[in-house]
Amino acid sequence: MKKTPISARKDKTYKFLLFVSGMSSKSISATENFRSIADEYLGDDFELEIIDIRKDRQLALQYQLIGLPTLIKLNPQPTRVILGDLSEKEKVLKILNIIE
Amino acid sequence: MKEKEQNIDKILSEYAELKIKLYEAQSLIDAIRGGGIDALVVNENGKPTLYSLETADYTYRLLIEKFGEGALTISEKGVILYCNEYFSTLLNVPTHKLVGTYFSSYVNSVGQFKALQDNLITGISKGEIVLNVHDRKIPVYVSLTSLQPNLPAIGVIVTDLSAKRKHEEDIANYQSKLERKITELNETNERLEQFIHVISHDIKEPVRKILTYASHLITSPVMAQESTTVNNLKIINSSAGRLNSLVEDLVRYSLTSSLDGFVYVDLDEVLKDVLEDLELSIKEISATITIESLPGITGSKTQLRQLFSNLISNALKFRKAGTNPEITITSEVTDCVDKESPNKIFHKISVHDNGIGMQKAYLKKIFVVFQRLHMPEEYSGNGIGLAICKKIMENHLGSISAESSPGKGSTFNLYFPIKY
Repeated sequence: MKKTPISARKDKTYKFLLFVSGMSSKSISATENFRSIADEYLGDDFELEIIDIRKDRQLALQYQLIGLPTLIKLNPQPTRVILGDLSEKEKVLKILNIIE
Repeated sequence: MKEKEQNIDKILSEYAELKIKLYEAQSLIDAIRGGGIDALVVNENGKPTLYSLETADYTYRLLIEKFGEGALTISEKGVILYCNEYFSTLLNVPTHKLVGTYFSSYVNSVGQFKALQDNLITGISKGEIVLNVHDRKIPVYVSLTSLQPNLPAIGVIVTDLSAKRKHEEDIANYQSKLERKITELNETNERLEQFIHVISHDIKEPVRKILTYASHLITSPVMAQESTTVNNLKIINSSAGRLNSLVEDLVRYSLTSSLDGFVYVDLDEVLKDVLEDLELSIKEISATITIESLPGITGSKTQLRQLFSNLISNALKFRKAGTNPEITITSEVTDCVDKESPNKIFHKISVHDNGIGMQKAYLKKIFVVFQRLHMPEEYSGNGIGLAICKKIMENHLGSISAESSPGKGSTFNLYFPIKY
């Protein structure tokens, strides 16, 4: 199979930011839970950036975070915010507007 | 009417959007209430501060607690505020007896630790110190990290170096043992060389006397009528001569072990010198010698000259009666010598002659000292020449082999490893 050069690769439909607080337990669960939801519903059509707020606190202001972990869906619009460890799959799918 | 419908649609879609917004907001509240988060972000005068909740630091704490190195926090004055299990085990003092005491009271050289603490201004400070607990000394590597500005304390990681120290000592011991052995060996070798010199001198002295006096007797006028005695004296003389050259060869053989003086040697020049030395005998028997362009190698010039001198002398000596000797020396690069050195490549230099040759069975024997295939009356020599060649090749980390069959000439192959 021919590999697509990076420049010609299609942009991913979904883009997420996951803000965590170091190795804290809920942050670890959130990372795991997101991974399993994404694997099940999004295939590889998403981009995820995990940001440790302990390393850059100013980002908390920029994204108006009130707690950690927080998942933000940037694309497709509208922006959605979920607080918590993402353990309730139905809720996550509903807020993110991912149709089963 | 149509406008009204549009308005209804708009309101409905706004309603749906608001509903999902509400759901999103509700879920935020649920998450905080239900304990789904580990930290709250609070803005204090525009500065975001993280407030960790109860479970949040569990992972860190467990990691430090079970860490395979000593981990502690000490106050800026050096009072131990916290230490993990490993540190307590290392010192063999229970944790509750350590907390609240001064870290410096477990340090062998307080000055050294103080210096490390002073270095903290520059960031992380690391170094080796020795802990001293109940007269038990433990070499450790410590790494200090200032916890400022969040906490007026210092984080300390302590790595036990006892095992490493022991290994280092063991290695040093072996090293010095080895060095002693090497010195002993060198001394033995030196003594052996001296022994060889003395012995050869002591043997040659009486042999020379035998030679001299036998010669005197042979030429003495008294012996003019005594042809039998003269013949006997000639036998004595030639035997003594052989003994003399034998001793010389043996000395040469034992002294070819030295590995000193390895330099870059151009084999073309070596061969030129050898041919000059042998010029007379080459002319005498009208031998033809053809030499291809030869490589340069790293080695001992003296030994290499000896090597080619022996091989060419042999080729001249074991010539076929009634044939003009022809000797060809060729050179090539080869990679297959034996199974022991599969990936090495070699300069293969072959010395080929059209002499009497020999049977396959002898091909290995000829490189052993005193192995000779012919009677001394037939061909002169002591049976040491090829043994010397073999030793020289071994000194050069190479090898020598022979191909031959009776009446078809012989080829001696020299393999010099090529270094990268």
